[in-house]
Amino acid sequence: MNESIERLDQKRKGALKTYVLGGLLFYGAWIFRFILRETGHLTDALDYAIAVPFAIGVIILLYSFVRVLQVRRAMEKNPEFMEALDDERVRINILLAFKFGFFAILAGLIFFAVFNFFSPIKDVNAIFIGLLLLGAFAYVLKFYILERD
Amino acid sequence: MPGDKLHNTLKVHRARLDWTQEELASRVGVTRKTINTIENCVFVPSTVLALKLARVFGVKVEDLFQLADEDSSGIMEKTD
Repeated sequence: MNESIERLDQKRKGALKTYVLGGLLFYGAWIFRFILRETGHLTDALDYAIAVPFAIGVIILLYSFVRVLQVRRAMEKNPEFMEALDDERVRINILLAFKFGFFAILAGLIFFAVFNFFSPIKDVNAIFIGLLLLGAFAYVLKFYILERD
Repeated sequence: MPGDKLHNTLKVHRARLDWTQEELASRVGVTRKTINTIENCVFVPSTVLALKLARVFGVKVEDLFQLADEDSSGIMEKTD
């Protein structure tokens, strides 16, 4: 039983690490494309080039999401797994990660406000999407940092 | 706040009973990493977890956890 819990914990950490890598690619490509597009520097060639890490990021994110779901399902099937893998330290780390995600969204708001000051943003929906992505990514990033060995 | 750091003797008691961190973790219903972070004074356990740990070791909570400003015998000096 101890080994099963430890194995599941390692699987969760692996899924989080994969998510962070995928998120870096995906969000990095997204923000890079956003800046180029809003400043009028996005060419077709650049657009296609950015699509590659963007697509790879999406695939990695989907894969890690499935792995996280698998871990969650295994935890829900066994109360002992749930008790151990959702212990007080993990719950505190989740709260800390939420806090980090919140401040990341605030930082993102400041970024978009400053950006808009120098180069008025045409696609306002991109701000909402960008902030949502940033908050979600920052949350998982912080949780991964807190949980890693 | 000064003196808020918590020292513990988990490793000593674990060694006494020849338990791994994993074994101790399974006895109190947490992960090995939680035990590791407690032993390394990174994570401060809740009262409930501290009591569970004391119970599995068969000792008092005060024998397991001490505030950093307590003396080496683990007894606070009375100042009144």
